[in-house]
Amino acid sequence: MRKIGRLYSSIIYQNVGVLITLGLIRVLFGDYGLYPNKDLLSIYNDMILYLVPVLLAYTGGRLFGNSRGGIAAAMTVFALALSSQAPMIIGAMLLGPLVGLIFAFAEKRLEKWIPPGFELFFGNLLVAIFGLTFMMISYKFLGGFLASIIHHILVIMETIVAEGWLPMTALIVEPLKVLFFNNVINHGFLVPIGIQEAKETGRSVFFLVEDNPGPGLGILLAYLIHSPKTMRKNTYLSAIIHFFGGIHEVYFPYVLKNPLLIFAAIGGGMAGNYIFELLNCGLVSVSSPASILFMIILSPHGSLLNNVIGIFLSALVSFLLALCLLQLSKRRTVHIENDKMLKSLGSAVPFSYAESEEAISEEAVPTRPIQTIVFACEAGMGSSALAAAMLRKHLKEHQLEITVSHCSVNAIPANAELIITHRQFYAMLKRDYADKTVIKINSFVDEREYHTVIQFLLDQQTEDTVDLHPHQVLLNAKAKDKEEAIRQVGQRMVDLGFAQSSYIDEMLEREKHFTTYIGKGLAVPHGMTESRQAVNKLGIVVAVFPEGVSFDGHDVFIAIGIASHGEEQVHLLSIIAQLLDEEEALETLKYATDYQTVIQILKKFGL
Amino acid sequence: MIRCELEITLPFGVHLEPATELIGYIKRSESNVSVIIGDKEVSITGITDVLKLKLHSKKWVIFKVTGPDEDKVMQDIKRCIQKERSQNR
Repeated sequence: MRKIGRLYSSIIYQNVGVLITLGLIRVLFGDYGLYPNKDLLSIYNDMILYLVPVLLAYTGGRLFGNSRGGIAAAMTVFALALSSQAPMIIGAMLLGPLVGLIFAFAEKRLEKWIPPGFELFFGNLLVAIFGLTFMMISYKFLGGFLASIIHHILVIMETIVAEGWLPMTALIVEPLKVLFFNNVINHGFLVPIGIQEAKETGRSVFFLVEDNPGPGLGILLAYLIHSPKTMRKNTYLSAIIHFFGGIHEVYFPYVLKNPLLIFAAIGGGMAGNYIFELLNCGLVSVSSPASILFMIILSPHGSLLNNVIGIFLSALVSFLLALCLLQLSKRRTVHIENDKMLKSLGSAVPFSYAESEEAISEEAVPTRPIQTIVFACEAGMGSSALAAAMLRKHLKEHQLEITVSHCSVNAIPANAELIITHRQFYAMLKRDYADKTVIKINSFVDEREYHTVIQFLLDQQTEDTVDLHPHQVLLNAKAKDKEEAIRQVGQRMVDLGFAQSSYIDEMLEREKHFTTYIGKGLAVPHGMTESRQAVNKLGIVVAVFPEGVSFDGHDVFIAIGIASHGEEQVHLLSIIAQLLDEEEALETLKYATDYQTVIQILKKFGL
Repeated sequence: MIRCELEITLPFGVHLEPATELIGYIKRSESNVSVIIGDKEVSITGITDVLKLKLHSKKWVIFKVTGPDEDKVMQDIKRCIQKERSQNR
């Protein structure tokens, strides 16, 4: 079911541009448009009768049978369109992928019979044979049959509206929507019906049923009031992205975290649908993404105010219901959790942050620094585009030069090294792309998710950058005091180009303020944070003092000097801390007489 | 027992000096402190426990403090990992 939904979403999303053009022509030149013009409106009729079905069929056919499958599907649906006066949107959605699938199957079966060098010839011949056959079938038989089915569906839908049942659709639409079936319901069902209806009447309320941003906005605003200050920024950002950016997926985690809120979504949806029905609302075409801005543009002349009233009221109802439900669930949380601090956070935490961190630690096994990251979402155009943009911003802040793109979960590019996706697609992508690193995130707007990804990338870059060579090891070193020891380590860092000579003074300065001895005969001399300009590149130097050097009364046998720009230091220190737990390794290091032993031990810990 | 999910706001994360300072507070207190990350709960008793956690800047972690002076210790922890450091060494 979800696969079919993804297929239809993919077809519709790739053709959203032409659907919006249809809407704009209606808004501008339609009978009730701003500048009514029958001549220009005829473009609309031809587009919806022929161009749109053919484009949808081509896109669907190409998904299975590549471009040749797409062409065969386009020809089939063109014949279908000629056979009837009803726009064959639903026919194109059904036949396009089907013809592509059959074409791909036949092409694969015939592949072995084609003599080498004749691939292009036979490939094109196959398209012609397939195209002709399916055109005949469509023109002679399927056209009339599908037209009759479409007629019946439209009659049912009109009855739903005429009998006042439209509000009830929220009972099905809203729960399915937050379970991420939004694209399935909308692009698989409501949009094709809507396009069909808009052809007849110039507008369709079905473009508003799922796309209405009111219920989600109400829930997010209620969360905004209910959240502690630390959470407000994310909720505020979610509300903006949801309402103006049209990416509704951002509010789903808030409902899933607190399932009672589904009643707020249903209430808001029902209120909105009731108003839409009462005031004869609708849009001239699909609003994709479902942003309020697009909805304003695609509102037919004279209906803008009605549409806005419907959306506003559904947001208001959803907001009030969500406020009550959040209050209720907060009380329950207080009773259940005997935990002071978490009480204050309450239900405002939309997901468990720890989950995403687990996903990274379990799955990340890249063998070299990641250069290409791909965000994947259902259609590859909404939430993944937003997430890619947000990650790019964070990468820039951390001066990480990594390419980030976005795509549909069905079209992961071959060069992707790291795939980041919503948790609903995680299992599927992990299975299909076992050779790539896959990370799941729970919310595309939560800043913390991006920090986790950045930290993972930073760790990975650090792991790669710190590479130990024998010249980074000072064996059998001797120093009369810690100043001399630090100067030896610092000088080697300068000689190796890790830092400028002023860094040595910075290291000594730090030591005056604060000892870098961390226990068990180990010290980590390094400069002050302000001295990072004196650091050229990340690097370490290891000095072994078999006779020991006194660091403020502590005997130091191993000094690991660090030249870092800042954040990498936390990673290096964590590795050194692990080394401190290994008595045997420390003892071996203290008395090491060859470079290889030192390097082997340090590399074992990840340095 | 109190728990608190905190964000590390030190610009370069909890490196050596803040980690030492944190341990100083914990050792002077009469409470037990642990950090929860994912399913794991790590008891904090020494500097290496803090360093091993890799507390980068902007990371969120849950601190759990149990003991007679738990409120004060939590405040100290917050101050230590969240304060703005003009002299960040």
